[in-house]
Amino acid sequence: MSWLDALGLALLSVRRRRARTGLTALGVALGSALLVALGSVGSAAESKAVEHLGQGLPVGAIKVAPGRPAFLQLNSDEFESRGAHRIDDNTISRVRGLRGVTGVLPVQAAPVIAVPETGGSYEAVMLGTDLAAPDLPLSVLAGRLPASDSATEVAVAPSYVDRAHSGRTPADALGDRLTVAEPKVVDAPPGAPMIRWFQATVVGVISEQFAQADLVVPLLQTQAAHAWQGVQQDGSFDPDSPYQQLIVVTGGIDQVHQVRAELYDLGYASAAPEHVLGAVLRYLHVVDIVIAGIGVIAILIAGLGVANSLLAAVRERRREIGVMKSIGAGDGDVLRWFLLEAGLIGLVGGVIGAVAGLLMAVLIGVQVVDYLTSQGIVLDPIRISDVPFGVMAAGIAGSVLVSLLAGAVPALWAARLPMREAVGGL
Amino acid sequence: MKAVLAALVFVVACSGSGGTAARPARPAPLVDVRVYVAIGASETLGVGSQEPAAQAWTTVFYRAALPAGALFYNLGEVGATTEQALKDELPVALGLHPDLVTVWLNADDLIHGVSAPDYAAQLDRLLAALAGAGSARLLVANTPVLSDLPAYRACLPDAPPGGPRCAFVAGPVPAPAELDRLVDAYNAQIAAAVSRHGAQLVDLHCQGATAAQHPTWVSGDGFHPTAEGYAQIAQAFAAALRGTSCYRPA
Repeated sequence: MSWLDALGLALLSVRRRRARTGLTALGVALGSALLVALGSVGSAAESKAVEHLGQGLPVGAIKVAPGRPAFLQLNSDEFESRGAHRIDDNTISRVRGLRGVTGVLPVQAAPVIAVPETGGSYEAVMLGTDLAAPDLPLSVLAGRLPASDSATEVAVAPSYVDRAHSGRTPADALGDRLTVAEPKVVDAPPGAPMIRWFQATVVGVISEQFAQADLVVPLLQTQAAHAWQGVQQDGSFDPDSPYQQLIVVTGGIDQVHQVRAELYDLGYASAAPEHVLGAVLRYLHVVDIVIAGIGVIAILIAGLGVANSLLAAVRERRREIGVMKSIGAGDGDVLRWFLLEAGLIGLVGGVIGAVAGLLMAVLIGVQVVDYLTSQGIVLDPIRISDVPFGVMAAGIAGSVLVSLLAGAVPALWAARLPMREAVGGL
Repeated sequence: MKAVLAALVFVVACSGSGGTAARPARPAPLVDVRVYVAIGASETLGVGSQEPAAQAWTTVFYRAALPAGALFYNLGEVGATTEQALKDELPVALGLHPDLVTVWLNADDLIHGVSAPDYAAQLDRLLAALAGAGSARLLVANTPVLSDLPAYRACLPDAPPGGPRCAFVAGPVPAPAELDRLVDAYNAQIAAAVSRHGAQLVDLHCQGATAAQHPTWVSGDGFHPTAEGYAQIAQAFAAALRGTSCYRPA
């Protein structure tokens, strides 16, 4: 008997006992749904939380300010500074040498007014950085990043596309002429904002709002802006520091604390959402455990259901098994037949469960987002597109595997039935 | 299943329909400028328009007439007289080493009752400093007709109720004929100063009673232009760059 013949027999058996097969598959679907919901909520909520708390920075990024750290710096996610400490090129090379650091990016931010040629003007944050850096944590949706020495090129965040080209694609923003105003922050006479303007062409759209920036330009552009605007006295940071901030990229969230401790020893204040992120991830972990417990119990019950259903099927089909063996079918053929039947039940239940789990994930996600919002963490709701495809695939594959394992004992029993005993009633 | 497929086809069709819109070609710059500085008062900042940053005449002029690589410094100060500009704006302007400077300062001097000779002396100092600092090209605007502005009409005894507030804050309000004479005296001094310092005149007075002819060019305060009015002023400055002192809107 070929695999195809065995499959045909399994399908025939499933069709002959639709009600029982349907109920068994439903049991599998329930377990699969819970497992898919677990995986989906866990990964989607975690990535949303990390994305939100990271403020557009890569996972495991740390911000370093030109200030000396206060005593309790490492207990706080925010800058805790007690004096100025300039950040210069020497600082950058020392930070690059720290254990766990994978990239260091000097940045400067400037408050500006952006005037798109399509009309309207809006307050924006212009971020200057070393666009020639090899490990730049920026991905481009359309176009390219500005040349590192260009004073007339700019990359924009998706917020610009929403504003200037609502409902269109990022590529539609390429080639836009943008006029940017830099109001003087320090020493401007009352009633005279004193604005420096420059014009730039949009050459790229970045994939997210990197460090809450609306516009990304080469460092020379923000250095010129700072020279004009003056630097606001922000706490006790160093207003004369060549760089306003460093973004230090580590190997992951688990390395953030260690790198912050090293920065502390170097004498720099730092900020990273390690504590709040830890609390959120702990909450999500509890949610994971609860749903995982329910899911495992459900999938075990579903496995017992598959075993029970197949045991009943073997008892009902003793004569069929006997007849098949009498006309030449071997033990392996019978084993294959029943295993395929178990696999089919697992597959149908797994697919139904994965789809149901996806919908459950979205509903649970809404609850999680509501909770986080009540805690002051505003997140976008979890959408179906946020759910990783791998979780669904794993849910379906897991259902098939559990069904095969559960069906193995009845299938072996059927395969080892002696022909004479099987056809004994004839 | 058919419905799902139809929905997918619709989604794919919709996502493919957004093409890149045709972009109007940028006009060629009228002059090769590296640094442009605007000295002036509230008009220079675009006060009166809905989006001052984007709709001020200086911004419109900068975007339309100057090269893409040029920097623009708007030093305008709300309510600035020429005396205030000498104190606040001139030192900053000189430090920026501009190669194009526009100056529009006269309405606030008039409103504050500065006499024509005093105004002339201050304007002369301003232009002398700018001209003496280097090779900056100077565009100096004169005073437009003010006697038809609603904010001036509101100062007169027969002012209609519910109009804008009177703009004249210092001293007795001159009668319309007297105001016209004052404006003429200012403009004569401006023309003389422009000639003395090798600047170019932007003749806003030659356009006549624009507030009466084009009410939509004047904002709700009855004094400052709207975005439409600022666009016409930008055209006047651009025309001066082309060598036409008196720009008459179509």
